Amino acid sequence: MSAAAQPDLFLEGLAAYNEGRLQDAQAWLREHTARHPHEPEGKHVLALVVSALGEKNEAERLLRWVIETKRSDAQAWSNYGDVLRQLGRIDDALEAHHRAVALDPNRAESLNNLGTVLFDQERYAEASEAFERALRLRSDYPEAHANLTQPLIETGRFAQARHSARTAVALDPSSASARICLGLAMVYGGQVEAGVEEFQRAVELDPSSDKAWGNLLLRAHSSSSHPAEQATAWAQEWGAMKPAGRPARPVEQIRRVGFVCGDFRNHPVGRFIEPYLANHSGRFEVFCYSNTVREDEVTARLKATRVNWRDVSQTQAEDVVRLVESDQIDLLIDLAGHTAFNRLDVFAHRAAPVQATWMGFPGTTGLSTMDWALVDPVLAPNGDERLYAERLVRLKGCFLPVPVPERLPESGAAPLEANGHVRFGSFNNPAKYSQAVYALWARILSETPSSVLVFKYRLFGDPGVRQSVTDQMALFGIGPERLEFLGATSRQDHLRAIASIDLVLDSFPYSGATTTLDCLTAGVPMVTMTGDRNASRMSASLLTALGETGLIASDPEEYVSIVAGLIEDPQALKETRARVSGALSRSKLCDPSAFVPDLESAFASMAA
Amino acid sequence: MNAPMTTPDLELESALSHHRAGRINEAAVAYLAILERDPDHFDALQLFGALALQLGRLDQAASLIERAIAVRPDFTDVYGNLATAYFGLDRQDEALKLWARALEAKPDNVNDLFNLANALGRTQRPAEAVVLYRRALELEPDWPEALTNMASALIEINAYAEAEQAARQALTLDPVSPKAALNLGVALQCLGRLGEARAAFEGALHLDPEYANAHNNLAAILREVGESGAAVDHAKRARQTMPESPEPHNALGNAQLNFGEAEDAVASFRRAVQLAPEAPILGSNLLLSMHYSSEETRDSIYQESLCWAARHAPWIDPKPRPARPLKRIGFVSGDFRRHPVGYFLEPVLKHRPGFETVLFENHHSVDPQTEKLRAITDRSYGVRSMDSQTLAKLVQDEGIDVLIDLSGHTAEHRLDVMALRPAPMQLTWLGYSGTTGLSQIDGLIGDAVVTPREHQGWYTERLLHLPFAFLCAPMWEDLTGPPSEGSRPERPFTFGCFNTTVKVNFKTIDLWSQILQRTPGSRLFLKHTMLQDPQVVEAYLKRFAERGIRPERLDLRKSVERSAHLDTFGEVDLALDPVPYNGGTTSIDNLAMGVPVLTLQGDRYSARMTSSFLNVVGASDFVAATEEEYVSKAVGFASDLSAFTEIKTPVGDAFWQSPLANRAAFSEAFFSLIESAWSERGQAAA
Repeated sequence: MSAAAQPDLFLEGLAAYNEGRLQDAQAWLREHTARHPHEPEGKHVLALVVSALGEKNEAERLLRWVIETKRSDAQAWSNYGDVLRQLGRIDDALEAHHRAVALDPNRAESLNNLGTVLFDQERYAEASEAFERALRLRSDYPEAHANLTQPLIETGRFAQARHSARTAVALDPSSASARICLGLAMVYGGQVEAGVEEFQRAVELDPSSDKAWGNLLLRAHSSSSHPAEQATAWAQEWGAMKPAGRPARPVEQIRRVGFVCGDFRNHPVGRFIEPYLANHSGRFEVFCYSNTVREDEVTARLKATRVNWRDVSQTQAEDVVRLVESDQIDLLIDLAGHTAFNRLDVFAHRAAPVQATWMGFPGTTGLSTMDWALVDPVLAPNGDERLYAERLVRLKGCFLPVPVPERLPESGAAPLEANGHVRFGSFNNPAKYSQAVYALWARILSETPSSVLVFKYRLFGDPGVRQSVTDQMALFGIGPERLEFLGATSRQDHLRAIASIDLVLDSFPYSGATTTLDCLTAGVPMVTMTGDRNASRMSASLLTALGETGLIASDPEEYVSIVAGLIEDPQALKETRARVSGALSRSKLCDPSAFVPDLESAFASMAA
Repeated sequence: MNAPMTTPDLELESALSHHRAGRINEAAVAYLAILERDPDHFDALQLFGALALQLGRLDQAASLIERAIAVRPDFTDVYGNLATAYFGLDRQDEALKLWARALEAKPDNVNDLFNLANALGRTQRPAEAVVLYRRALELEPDWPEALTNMASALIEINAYAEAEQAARQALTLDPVSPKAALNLGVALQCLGRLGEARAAFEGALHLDPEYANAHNNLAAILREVGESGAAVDHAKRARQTMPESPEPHNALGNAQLNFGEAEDAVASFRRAVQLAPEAPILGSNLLLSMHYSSEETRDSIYQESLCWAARHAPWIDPKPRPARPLKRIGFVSGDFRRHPVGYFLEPVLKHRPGFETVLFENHHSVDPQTEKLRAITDRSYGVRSMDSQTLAKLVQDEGIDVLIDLSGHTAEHRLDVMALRPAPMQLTWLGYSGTTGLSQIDGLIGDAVVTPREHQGWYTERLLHLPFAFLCAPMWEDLTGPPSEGSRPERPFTFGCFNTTVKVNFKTIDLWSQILQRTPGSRLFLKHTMLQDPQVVEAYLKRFAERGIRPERLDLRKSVERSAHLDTFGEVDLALDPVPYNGGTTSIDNLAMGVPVLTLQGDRYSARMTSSFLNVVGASDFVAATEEEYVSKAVGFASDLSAFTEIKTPVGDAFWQSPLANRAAFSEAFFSLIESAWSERGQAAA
């Protein structure tokens, strides 16, 4: 027995780690591992500490040593897999997790970690299964409940998703990620304001969480209870926390343009960028930095255009910056803003001398290193400068290049004539249903007796989502017999469903965009309402380009009276329908000879 | 200790004689010496292993006996010791296998039978344990430890009568076994013979004054027979001896509730849950106690409900509902008897719906109210001793379309069965004033006051509304109309409350004291069974005194039999609802007897029940929205007797003319609500 009580370096380090004193833990454990270089436990815990401090590469090295020394340590394999995931080495991460589970199938944490990788790969059913297995082993495991929420939402198991999220928060009220999951569950259930409140709590609990901020910033635009200035203020609060990036460098001329996007696939952004990439003039050397995890046929088409393609989905931000620099990009364009799969981490470093944001996100990024935002006069009228950290470049035409729509037969007589009652329709994601939407649509329904409101979106295949929206409408006095719900269908059936509608009601304050195009493709009129933010003006921008400004309201009273005007005057409804039918394909919106020069001169102007 | 000898061996004889004489060190030295000479010496290995086992050195024992078995693999007599070592080392599966193999070779080895039975008992396999104990006892009938342990296992499988018998036999053979006395007490307790159980536990404590389990169980009985102070003492003693055991905290919490110490009870139950999160009853007790506390919020209650469900009712996907009319409704409860649930259920079933109704009775005891309920339902089953799977299967085999829980988290609930989703549609009603937290329960039957739509976020169940209140008056035989209007005798203004002391927490006492302070000369009349306990009475007198209310202002009585009970309403001018947990039955009784109830309407079900009744009766003068209003209304009423009398007088008639007294209409609305919920579900869009 030793005489004096020496501090046990390992135990001190472990205790410090458990108490969150990471620097102390690091100090103890570095000394311990220096003295006992062959002792795996010390290196294992040190790996966790340095990982928490952000040193993922060192964590990887340490854990690799540990698993090579203790090949059957399930916990080490599982932690190794987690670090690999964070380094973007997904396949290796999966292998490590499978090893961990094989070594100890009763370790709930291993299954939870496996699930996170599967989720990142969009393997939702498998991810759910992994989390559910973890929960069977440990039923009061808050992280697994939280993690389970998202793949459940993606696979339409909404009632269970919401229950999982609420359970996660109940088990760990101080967990920011549990709050984020609950916020998502609320948002996708058509309760935006409640979701935003949860994101606010998440940000309070963990101000360093980009995921919490990203969700807050995106969903704030859908909330009628939060004015546009609030979203801007939050974005700037977030941006101010980022270390100051390098300052802007004016360039003489824009020669090389790069687009950064996680949605180069069958997704609204992928579909809207395709017409530009497929038709760009060759004036610029175009690069695509793809953060797209699940590639599909749209990705393949994009890769086949005249662009230089770079896959950065598994690349750390510093390395992407180096790549963009070595590609000598003059103008780097963000297509995501705060939406999922964004690479604002790259923009925060300032990868290119000029940086701009476009189309993916309806507002300011809040980054001091984002120089420009590409908008149009309808989307961002004069005065909107106050809502943006970026300077605004306004296109002459619509901010969106539109793909050529399917040619469909004329949509014919309004369904009202055959049905005898009005069918209103909404094709938006219920994530855009603010309280103001329910209030106004309830009013319209009550003022149009025997009318029906049809909701169609893939999430409505789940009874939980239908119930949620039904409950919201009930609070405003509309019973379930006035509502119809449809889920995902084939493209043909989707267009047919739209065509069965007399008048589409656009959501607000976050309007549709893709859904608006679908309605115009099907030849069905839509009423939209602009408000205090860009997100409210996307449909208005498209409708203005078609000359249909009569369908654009600027306040609820006008929205109601435009609706009434059409419904009460079947001739007007018929004529509007006839005009809208085919208008899109005849317009400049989908004419590359119109939008390509407009966009390219905007890009060139950003050199200043 | 198994110690069969093989070959004569002097050194071994010497070691063994030390061993038998208890000279441990000498024995160990001797065995070691043999093994140094001959490492594969079978007897030295297995005997030294046995010695190590006796000394609790399980690793050493295991390794020695493993070596012995390697030398002589089929000498199954030593398997038992190795199994014992493994079991102690948490290698339970290996232990059970070894014992099984030993018994295969020698089925009549009573030690192995006994040890394996004990191990099975401790690994939640009591039925198998019982089988083995019986075999052991056939071979050696007068074995008190086997009888005692068998009694314990019998209790686990709900075979209480046999457990009683086994425990008694054990005590006859070994009158100074505290464990036998304890098991006897538990068996009697489960059989409902509380007086005898109490004697048994007291006997156990006589034999072992620090016996924590006996203190625990005795505390539970004392609480039930109205000796709450003694219950607290015994719970605290148990807690002292076994601080890491959940039971003392649980027993203490229950006793604290009786004293109106809801906040302390919550802390006790929280600790119990922390120590044993896998025990559902502890979690349910915590939830119940939270409702009585003035320090909990609807958020904290909701979250705790979800935690309970996460642990004990993990998600199960709903089954598709058959698209056909509703046929059969099942009710599950431990309260189909003389209990508020039993009383409030009667009018619903009495006015028979067009559906079949089945009762799943989760209690052994049967009383006249049980008989009444059975007479007005199609079928009933006693399910107290069924485990969850068995009862779920019964519900399915019975073809129950809608299964209705009437307990929530109250005692004797079967949320374990609701969690398995045995019926296509499941609802909860009446017995518990809040959300169960279960996602498997599709709807909660309430009303627009008690569970308004805006509160949906605090319930996992969909809120369903009956058109008036969530319940209606029971089928009182002795009460069919308001009492005849006699003139009020000369007396001080008398506030009254016939609620359980569990609801009369410190906040309530604060508010009532303020009322009494501001109405000099007024009196407060409390009546409840709990007040038969002098320690409870003393505690309340003290609390009021601390708030400046002298005992002369207070009239604290225990409850009385029915007809006298009805008379006592005449002694009350204004009933006061406790805060936050309202009266349920008591409020209905008061209104039926023409006594208005002043209530503080809170933000959750349990705080809105009386408001719901008052709303239906049209007596919203008696609903206060804030604490200040509660106090000032009471003061106002007491200070102006004639104005008060004007609004009090119509209350009795208003009750009897209101939908609260129209049982037939209530029953119709009840079943119509269920039917429309059923068919709405059946038509869920694709």
